Amino acid sequence: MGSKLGWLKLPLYGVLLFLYLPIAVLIFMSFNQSDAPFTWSGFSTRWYGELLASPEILIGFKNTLLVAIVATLLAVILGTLLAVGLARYQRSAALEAIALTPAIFPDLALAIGLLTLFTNLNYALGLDSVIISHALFCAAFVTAIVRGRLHQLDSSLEQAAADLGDTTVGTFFRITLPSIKPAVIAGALLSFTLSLDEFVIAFFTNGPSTPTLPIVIYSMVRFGVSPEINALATLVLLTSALIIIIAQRNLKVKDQI
Amino acid sequence: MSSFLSIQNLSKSYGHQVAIKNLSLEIAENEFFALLGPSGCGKTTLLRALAGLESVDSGQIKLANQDLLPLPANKRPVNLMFQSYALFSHLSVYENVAYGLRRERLPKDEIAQRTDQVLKTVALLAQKDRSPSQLSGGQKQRVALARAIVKRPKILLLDEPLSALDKKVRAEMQLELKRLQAEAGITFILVTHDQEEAMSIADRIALMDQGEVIQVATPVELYRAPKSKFVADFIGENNIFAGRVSGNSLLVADHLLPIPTTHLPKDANALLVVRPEQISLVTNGLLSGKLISSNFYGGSTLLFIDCGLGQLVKVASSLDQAPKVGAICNLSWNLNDALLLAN
Repeated sequence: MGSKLGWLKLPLYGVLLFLYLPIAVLIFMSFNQSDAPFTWSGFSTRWYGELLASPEILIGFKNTLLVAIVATLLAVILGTLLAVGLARYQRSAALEAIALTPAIFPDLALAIGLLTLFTNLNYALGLDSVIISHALFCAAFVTAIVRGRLHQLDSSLEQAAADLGDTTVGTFFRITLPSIKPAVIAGALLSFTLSLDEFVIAFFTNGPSTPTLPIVIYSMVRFGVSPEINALATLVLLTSALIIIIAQRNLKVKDQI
Repeated sequence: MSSFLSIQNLSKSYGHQVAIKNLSLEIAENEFFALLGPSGCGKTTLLRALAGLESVDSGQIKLANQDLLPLPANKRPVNLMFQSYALFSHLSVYENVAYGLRRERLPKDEIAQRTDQVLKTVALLAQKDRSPSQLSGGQKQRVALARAIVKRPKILLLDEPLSALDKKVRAEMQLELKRLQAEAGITFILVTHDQEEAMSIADRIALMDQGEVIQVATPVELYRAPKSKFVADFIGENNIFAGRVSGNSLLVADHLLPIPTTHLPKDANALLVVRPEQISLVTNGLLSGKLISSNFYGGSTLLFIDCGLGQLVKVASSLDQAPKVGAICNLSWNLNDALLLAN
């Protein structure tokens, strides 16, 4: 296949370079020995060590992890139930569109809307408001993925379970959920990565005393890029990439069966 | 006939589309009953209504004098074998079959004993730990069957159970179904569009069209005495000649064909129905024409003869008696074998 590309290889590699050069520079510079952000002075892993020594970053990391885990949990439960409802109980194109659009809302609009809502409700901003906000937009992604899987799933499976004497709830846990498990896991992993590095919504809906990691990074970058930031960004990047790969494989393997 | 399952005035429509039209049917205990008809005739809707997977607009279904309609699908003493088999791919063969018994919360050893016994009946005991995806089409079909009969339902409903199998396996499974039905002593209601399948397997057949039952009869009756053109046309090969009654003959495209005694008045439109195997080749016959085509089916040969009736006459013949294509054939049949229907 590759050999047939001919001269098209040139634009292909050009585009790939364009896409990955910034990331390559980031990873490369995270191993820079000196703290001068733009000059290379030898290989070192010292910045990775210094990350662990920074209380700000550790607190940010802890906050982010908490938000990502709880928001993912909520998003998976809500998104899966919504998808099952849309696929099995209330077939309506309009309802489906409404359920799925939060995924493609501009972050900024969603963030401002959430901030306005929380303020009007006199809800104190903090990690819980970030969790609610993240659960909201992540649920739309989970719904989209699970809905796709349910679409392929023969609905006579659930009818067969009912015919064999199972209740609606029993059928959901014994038949529906195991059948859509790959999609639910993929949705959870996607939610987790989306929440992990989400900045705009977290920035608007968070309180001042509980910064998440992206907010910590943002406040550090305001005074210039430090090699520490490069190392941190590299770690965040690798985590996200790893999770996305797992999610993709999980969906693909099961689809072949 | 003692009525076991009694369906009365059942109706169901989807918007303007009528699926079942004021349908009544009586089915006896231990009967192997077939719902036969072209696709879209309402037979599957009726089956799903019996299973409780489809609501109906009006009417009544009584099973052993118990009203079935108020019961949800999971409380009905009937089980359905799905056309797609609907096997649970994340469970083993054994767990698929045991599923319904576990829902009844039976004691563990009873579940094990009944499941093993049914798996033995369908010859799948050796495959009980396999996943359904590792089975052949015929084996999947048997798992689906085992999963339904292990519940010992009062009625087993089968939705086109053999349609996904190739011809040879299908013939074996027809025998298997008949054996199981006799052994289990369960009433079977089978939905099919394949008239040969219904004829070979069922005790009685309800032929359906456009949401209505056209005729309920044994396979032999249905074949010998079709009540209407639809039945005569749907069941088996047939010659159906349309014409006008004229004395004790039917005028069909300038030919006068003799008819059995009839109460139909003169000039009434009527159909003369003659089975291909009732027509014989003779030296001096009722009709004569040129042999257009001769189709060999292994055991018998079907001859297509042009007698100038506007349609080819079908005649069954044995292989060694079949004339050469192009030969002139004289046809005759016993007057009482033919059937006259009002048109």
